[in-house]
Amino acid sequence: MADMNTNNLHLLERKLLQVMSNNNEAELEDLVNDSGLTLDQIRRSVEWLKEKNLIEVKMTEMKLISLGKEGENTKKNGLPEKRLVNKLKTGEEIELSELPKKIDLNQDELSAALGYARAEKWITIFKKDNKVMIRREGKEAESKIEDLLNKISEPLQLSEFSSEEQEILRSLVKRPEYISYEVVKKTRVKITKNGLEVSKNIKDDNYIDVLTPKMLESGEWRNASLRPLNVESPSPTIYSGKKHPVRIFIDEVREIFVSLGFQEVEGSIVQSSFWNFDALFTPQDHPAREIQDTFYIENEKASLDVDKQILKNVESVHKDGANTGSKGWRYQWNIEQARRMVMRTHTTCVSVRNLADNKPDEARVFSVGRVFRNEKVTFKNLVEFHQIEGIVVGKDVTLRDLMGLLTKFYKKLGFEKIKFWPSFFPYTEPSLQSMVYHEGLGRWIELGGMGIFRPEVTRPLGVKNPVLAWGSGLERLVMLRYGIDDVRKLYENDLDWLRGIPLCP
Amino acid sequence: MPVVTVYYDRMFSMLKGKISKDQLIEKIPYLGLDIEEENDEYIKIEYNPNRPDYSTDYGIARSLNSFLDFETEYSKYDINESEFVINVDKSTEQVRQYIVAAVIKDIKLDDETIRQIITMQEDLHNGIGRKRKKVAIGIHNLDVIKSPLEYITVDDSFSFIPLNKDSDMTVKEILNSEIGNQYANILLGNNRYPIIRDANKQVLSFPPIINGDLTRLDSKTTNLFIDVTGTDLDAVSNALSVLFTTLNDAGGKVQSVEINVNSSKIRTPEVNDNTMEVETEYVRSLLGLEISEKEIIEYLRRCRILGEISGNKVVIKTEPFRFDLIHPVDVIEEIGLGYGIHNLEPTLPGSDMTGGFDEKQRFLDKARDVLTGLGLIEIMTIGLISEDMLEKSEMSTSELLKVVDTKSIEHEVLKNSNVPAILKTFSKNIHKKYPQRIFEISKVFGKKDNEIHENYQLTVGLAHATVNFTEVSSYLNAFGKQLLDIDLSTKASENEIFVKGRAAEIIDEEGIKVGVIGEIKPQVLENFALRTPISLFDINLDQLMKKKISKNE
Repeated sequence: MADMNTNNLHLLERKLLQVMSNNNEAELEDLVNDSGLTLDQIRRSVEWLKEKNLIEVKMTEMKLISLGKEGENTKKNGLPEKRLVNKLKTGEEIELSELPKKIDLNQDELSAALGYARAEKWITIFKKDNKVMIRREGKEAESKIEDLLNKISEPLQLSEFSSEEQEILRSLVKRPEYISYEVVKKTRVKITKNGLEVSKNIKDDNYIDVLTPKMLESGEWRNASLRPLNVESPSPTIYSGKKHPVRIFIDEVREIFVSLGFQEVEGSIVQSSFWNFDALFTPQDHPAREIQDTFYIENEKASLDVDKQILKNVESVHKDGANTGSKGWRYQWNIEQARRMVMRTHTTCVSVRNLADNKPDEARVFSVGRVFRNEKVTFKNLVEFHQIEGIVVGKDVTLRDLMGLLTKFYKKLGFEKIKFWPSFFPYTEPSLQSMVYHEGLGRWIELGGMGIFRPEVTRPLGVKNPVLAWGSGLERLVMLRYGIDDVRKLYENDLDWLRGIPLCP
Repeated sequence: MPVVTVYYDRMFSMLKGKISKDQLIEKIPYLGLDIEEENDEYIKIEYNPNRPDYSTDYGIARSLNSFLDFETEYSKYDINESEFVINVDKSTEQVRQYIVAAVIKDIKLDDETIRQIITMQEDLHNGIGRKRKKVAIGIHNLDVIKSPLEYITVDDSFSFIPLNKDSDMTVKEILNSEIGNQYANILLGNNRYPIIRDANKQVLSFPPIINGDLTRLDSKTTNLFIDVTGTDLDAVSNALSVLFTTLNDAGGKVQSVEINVNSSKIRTPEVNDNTMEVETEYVRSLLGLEISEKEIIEYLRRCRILGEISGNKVVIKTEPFRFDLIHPVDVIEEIGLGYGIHNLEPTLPGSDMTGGFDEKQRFLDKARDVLTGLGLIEIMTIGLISEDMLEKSEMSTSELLKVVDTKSIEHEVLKNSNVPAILKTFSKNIHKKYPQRIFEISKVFGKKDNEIHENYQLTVGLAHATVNFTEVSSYLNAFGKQLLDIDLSTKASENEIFVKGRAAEIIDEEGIKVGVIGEIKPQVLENFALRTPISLFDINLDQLMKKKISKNE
């Protein structure tokens, strides 16, 4: 061990060993001054040196005694009971009530002093002619307390006191604020025999520790070697800037959509009921439109600055199906209901507005956006979550095409097996539901719904061709990706979690 | 979504062919039904409210028998006339306009049958009945009722013994009672109330609130009288269709009731064929299946729909409860179900297209690139916040956009700034390693020209022991320069959240205010229990984006 290669020592370790070779044994705090290192650096190097058996570490617990406020006072002015009896001659008798005039002590101090003086048998208290009297007795007023107090000028360890002194210390505890008692933990380090030898080698080498610009300028570096470092030791942690995990996942989904030929669109979060419900052929008394499920915005009405023809078409398709071949919902549609503003409950309103604006014969459009539901927040429900949605418009597109596109989409997300079965949504027909097989969980999980927009939805907007549509929640997929089982965690923004998420898990 | 409990023993006795439990569970989803729970005795099946005929095991068994080819015939609904009559008083028009009724004879009501019927009644109330507003159903013991009945209105002092009570209550008392309270809002604003009573003036029902105690059902009841009242003729007729077809399948004999309204007589229930025409080519093109006309007819049959080819069309007839079919696409889905969704092979659309990102989103992507490049961590928070968070931030709570009846007080207003969420995030992370440098890009909401306005807002927050205005200002400059090559300047200004004299407005190159920047004042830090100083800037990205997007044009 003694012939250990000093080059393996870290700069900090070398410095510390050198200091220790002079001090032999020291407290961590003392080493700060001697080494010029910070306490933190010293702690780290002490750990490393201990591992290498070059130093020993001792944890000591010290009980420190120091003077309190009253202790300091007494040290300066003398013990009150002693001061009291010194005012009296041996055998002198004096009325108790006369005492305050003779000595500068307040009532509390005086009664304490009387008590102690009486206990020491320096005085006797007695009654005479109905008066309380004090007599100074012959015993000399001597106290070791003062000697003890004089000894304590800085905090002293309990072990530095004799057992007699310790006895007195214990009695002083009863006097308020005379002494204070504190337990201090100290780390003491001691250089080992190996350490001493290694430190000698350090002194002898002529490596330089830091390459400075000055050395480069002067060419001084030519005559020196840079000391090798311990390149295997751990380093302090730093973090990269990073997108939020949900955002990272959204970006992945967006790339998949674009690779499948889809154009991204976005739209408002606050929508009129017209776009969120009516244009999607959701009758005005449908349960989904009730306050319990949907966030309506207080006192806000949409001006419904929409193509008049579309408004009229939507009204009549609700009423009797208009020219779509539908029977409609057969009720009196009310435009005031359509004006109520909502936090959108799905991104389908974005797709539908896009259809109304562009009336495409052929298109592939997607959006990823936030949607809202008036729900209690639990480990599986949030009031707000993200929805993925894609639509395909084309003259010859079919239900099987929709299944094919979705199969491809989920494959790109890493799901090889997919199942479909029938389902129901108010604005698509036929409607299907999908399930994918999750290899990690070893089971099928329910994902998105899909279907072909009902002609009652598309015709009033002026779209003639069939429109395939699918939608899915995003959070579920994010949770699977990061192995999370409480959806709230996604938006808690715990910095440890955010910092720790790898980009390629 | 409504759920129906199906016991295996009952189900297997209703099915007309042999099938194992496992096969049953495998097939049910292909009818468009979800299995929610299964055990040894029963399965719980979730169905969509557009198919209330699935509200009992009778309805599910009926569909399965055809779907599994156990039967190829349809139920025949032979309806004889009963002697029962309801005379409708004109005054009911103003209160609860429509009434239809039916008589069911010779039905055996064991406990499970009664339970199934009650579930069906509840599901109809909640679904097409819209919580009894549109439709309310009364099911009565026929044997205690004497025809002719009358549907009249009364005032609120009228009294009778309501279901499960032993003494008279007035209409007023009923409406103020626990059960009445739930539905009283439906009759709000009326001073007349609908009552159905028989020839002996005994009350059957006070729709949509409660039945009379007189006609209560028990397991000895064998003959039923059903009334359905409501505000929509389609809805009451549809509900009655579901009821009478189901009770027919449960072994009852359905008889009609005469309804006299305004001196015209109708009989209910009617057996409605629900015919519709569907172009066969439309079927093929929507499903993407080259199927023959014969196949179309066969697949329809599996879904209990009668199809007949007429030229290039198929003309269909359905059972009376299939009022969910309102458009040919609904029929096409049935053909798809009959074919078997699991038999459909996925294909890909013929044409190919080029995809692309939204320009706005692309801008936000680049903004995130710059910010993460500067070492910042992105946070994401919810768009609805509490007023309390704004108050803690010492921000104004006037002119907020509020949502109605939130179920969570943490989410009551639309956020008009990211700042409270940034502060809250710091506050939740006080024990995490500093320095903390974070950002959020999110929509914020406000009103502009009396319209709700939303824009993307970026907030950057820096927290550590020595953070100050200069540091956050450097981040702001870097953001402007690296993203858009613009100089964002700062103009001294006061702001409620910042330290006086350490706050500024952010001004773009055209001199327009685009945001604010400063050191958060200690009182706000204290409000969030923060012990570390914070500086931040908050900037309207839509404003910055405008330049970029107009530059491109």
